[in-house]
Amino acid sequence: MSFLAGLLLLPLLTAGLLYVVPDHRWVGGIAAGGSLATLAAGLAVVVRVFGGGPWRAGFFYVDALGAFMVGCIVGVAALANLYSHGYFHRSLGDGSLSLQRFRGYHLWFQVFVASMLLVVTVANLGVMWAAMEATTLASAFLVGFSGSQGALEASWKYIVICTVGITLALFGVILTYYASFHLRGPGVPSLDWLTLRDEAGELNPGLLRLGFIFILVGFGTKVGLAPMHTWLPDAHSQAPSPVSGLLSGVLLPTALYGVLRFHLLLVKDLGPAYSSHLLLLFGLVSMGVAVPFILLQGELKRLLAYSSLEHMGVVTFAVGLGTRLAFYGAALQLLAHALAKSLLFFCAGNIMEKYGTQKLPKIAGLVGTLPWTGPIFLLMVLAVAGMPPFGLFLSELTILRAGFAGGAAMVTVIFLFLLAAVFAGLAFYAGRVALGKAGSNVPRGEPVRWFPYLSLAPLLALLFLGLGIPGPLTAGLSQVAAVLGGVTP
Amino acid sequence: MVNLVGSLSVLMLLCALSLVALRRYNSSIVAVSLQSLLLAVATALVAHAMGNREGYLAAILTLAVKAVAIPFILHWVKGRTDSGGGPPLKELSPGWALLVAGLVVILAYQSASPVTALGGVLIRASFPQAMSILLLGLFILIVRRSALLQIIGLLVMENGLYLSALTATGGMPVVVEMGMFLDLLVGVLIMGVFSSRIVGAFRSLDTDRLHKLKG
Repeated sequence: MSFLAGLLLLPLLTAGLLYVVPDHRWVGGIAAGGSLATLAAGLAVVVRVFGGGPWRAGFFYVDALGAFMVGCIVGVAALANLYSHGYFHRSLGDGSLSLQRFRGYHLWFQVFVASMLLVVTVANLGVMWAAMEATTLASAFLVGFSGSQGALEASWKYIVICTVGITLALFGVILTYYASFHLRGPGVPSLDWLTLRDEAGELNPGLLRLGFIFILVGFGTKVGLAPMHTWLPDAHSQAPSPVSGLLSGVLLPTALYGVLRFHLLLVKDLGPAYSSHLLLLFGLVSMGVAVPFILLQGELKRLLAYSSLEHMGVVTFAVGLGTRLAFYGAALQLLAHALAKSLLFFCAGNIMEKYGTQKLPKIAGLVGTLPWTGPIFLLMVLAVAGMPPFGLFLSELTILRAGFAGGAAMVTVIFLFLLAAVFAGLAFYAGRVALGKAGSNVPRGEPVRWFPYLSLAPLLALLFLGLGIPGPLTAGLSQVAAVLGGVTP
Repeated sequence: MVNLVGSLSVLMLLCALSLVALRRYNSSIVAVSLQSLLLAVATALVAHAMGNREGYLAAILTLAVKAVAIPFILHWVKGRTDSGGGPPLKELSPGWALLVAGLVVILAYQSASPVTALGGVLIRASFPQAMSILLLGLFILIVRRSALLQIIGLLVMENGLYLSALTATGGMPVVVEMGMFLDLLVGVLIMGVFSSRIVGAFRSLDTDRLHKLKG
C-alpha cells in the first residue's frame, strides 16, 4: 500500500476508532491525535513532492498543485480540530452538548477531511468528482450540527444546491470522457488525469467546451462563484465556527481545484482564450456580487463568508489572467486565504461566545473585552481586506501587476475598484466592532484560555508571507504556478 | 437493442413528465422507482450488446440501489410526515407545469444536437431523452416545495445523467460508477434524515418555510 493511501486512511482510521471507542471521554484526544498524525503525513507528502517532483502511485497522482492543496487542508484541519476543543468546551461542561454528539461531530469531521484529501490526490477525474460530492455529504451534518432552525435551513440549502451543482458537474465529466472517445489521433478513452493531459491536444474541442460549461457551473457552485453562491453565506454563518473555518479556508479552494484541472485540459486543447475568459468573467462577477453584501452587512460570520466569496473571485480572476506571475499570485492568495480566514472564523467563534450573538450592531469594543482575540480579529480583517504587511496584500498586488503587465488593463481596473470597495467595507466593520465601546455587561477575558498559542502559528506565517517570503516557499509557489501554466515536468 | 433502449428511454421520459404533474407522494415514489427499473433494464441491454461484464454489475447495482433501497428510504421519509404533515402544499398547477415541461423537452432536444451529431445510432436514439430527463429533474427540483419531491427531482436528474453516460460512452469506468452509487445512496439517506428533521422543526415538509436566512 502506498504512502498516499496511508494519508487518506489516517483520518478514516481515526473516524473508525471514534466509532468503536468504549469511553466517550477519549473522543477529544483521539480526534486531536488523528488530526496531528494526518498533519504530519500531509507535510511529508508536501516535502516529497516539492523536493522530488510529481508522485504517481497507482490510484493517486500528486503534483505541485495537489501537494499545495494537501498542505493547506491538513494544516487548516489540524488547527480547526484543536480549536473545536476550545469552541465546545463550555457546552460540554454545562451538559448542553453530550459526549455522544461530540463524538459524532469528530467522526464526520475526519470523514470530511479524508474526502477533501481524496479530491486533491486522486488521479481519475471521475473519482475526483465522486469525492467532491462526498465532501458535501460529510460536511452537511457539520453545517447543521447546532440543530437550530437556522442551521437546519442552512444545511438543507447547502446539501440540495451543492448536490444539484455537483450533478451538473458529472454531466461535464461524462462529456469530457465522451470527448476522449473522439480523439483526433490514436489513444485510449480514459478519465485518468495523466492520460487526458497527454492526449489533451487531441480531444474533441466541441465536447470539451460544452463539458467545461457544466464543470464550471457545477464545481463553481461549490466554489461559491456567483450567481451559484446562495448557499455559501448561510452555511458559513450557521456552521460551528471551526467548521466555518474549514469550509471557507480549504473546502472552497478544493472545489476550485476541480475546476482548474478541467481548465488545464481546455487550455491545452483549445488555447487559453475560451476557458480563461469564462474564469475572468466569473471571478469579477463573484467579487462584484460580494461587494454590496460586505458594505451592508448585519452579521459577523456572513461578513466573513462574503469576504471568502470575494477571495475565490480574486483567485478565479487571477487564473483567468493566464500569466505565470498571475498564477504565482493566485497560489499565494490561496495560501494566505487559508491561514487568515480560518483564524478569523475561530476569532468569530470566541466573539460569539463572549457576546452571545453574531449581530454586528451588538458587538463593540472587542479590543477591550477580548485582550487577545480582539486585536487579532482587527488585524486579520484588515489582512483579508488586503492591508500590508500581510500575505494577502502581496498576493493581490502581484495579481494586479500581472494584470497590467499581461495587457488586460480594462478588467484589471475593474478588479482594482472592487478590491477597494471590499477594503472600505471590511475596514469600516473592523473598526466599529474592534474599537467602539463595549456594553458594561460584557466582562473582560478570553473564553478559550489557550487560544493565543493556537493562533500564533497562522499569525506568524501570514506576517512572513507579507514581509518576505522565505526562498524555499517562493520556489514551491513557483512550482504551483508552473503546474497552473501547464508546464509538465 | 438500439430500438429497445430508445423505447426504454422514452418510457423513462414519460415517468419524468408524470412526476412533474403528480401530487401524491405514493404515486411519485412509484413513478421514480419505475424510472430506475427501466434504467436498470437499459443498462443490462447495453452491457449485453457490448459484451461488457462490468455493465451487468452496474445494472444490478442500479436495481438494488435506485429501484429498491432508495424507494425504501423515501417511504420512510413519507411515513415521518404522516404524523406531522399539514395540508397539501400549494404549487404550480399540473397543467401549467406540464406546459413548461414540454418547452423544457424541446429545449433539451435542441441542445442535444451537437453531441448526437458525433455519435452512433444508440446515442441518436437515446441521448435527447437523457438530456430531457436531466433538465426535467432540475425543473421538478426548482418548482416543488416539498423536501421529499425535491429529493425525487434529484433522483430524476441522476437517472437522466446515468442514461446519458450509458448511451454516450457505454457507462463510466467501474470505479467511478461505484463512487456514484455510494454518493447517491448516502446522499439520499442524509437528505432523508434532514427532511425528517425539517418535519420535526417546522411540522411540515414545506421547504418554503426555510426562509429565515437572508443578506
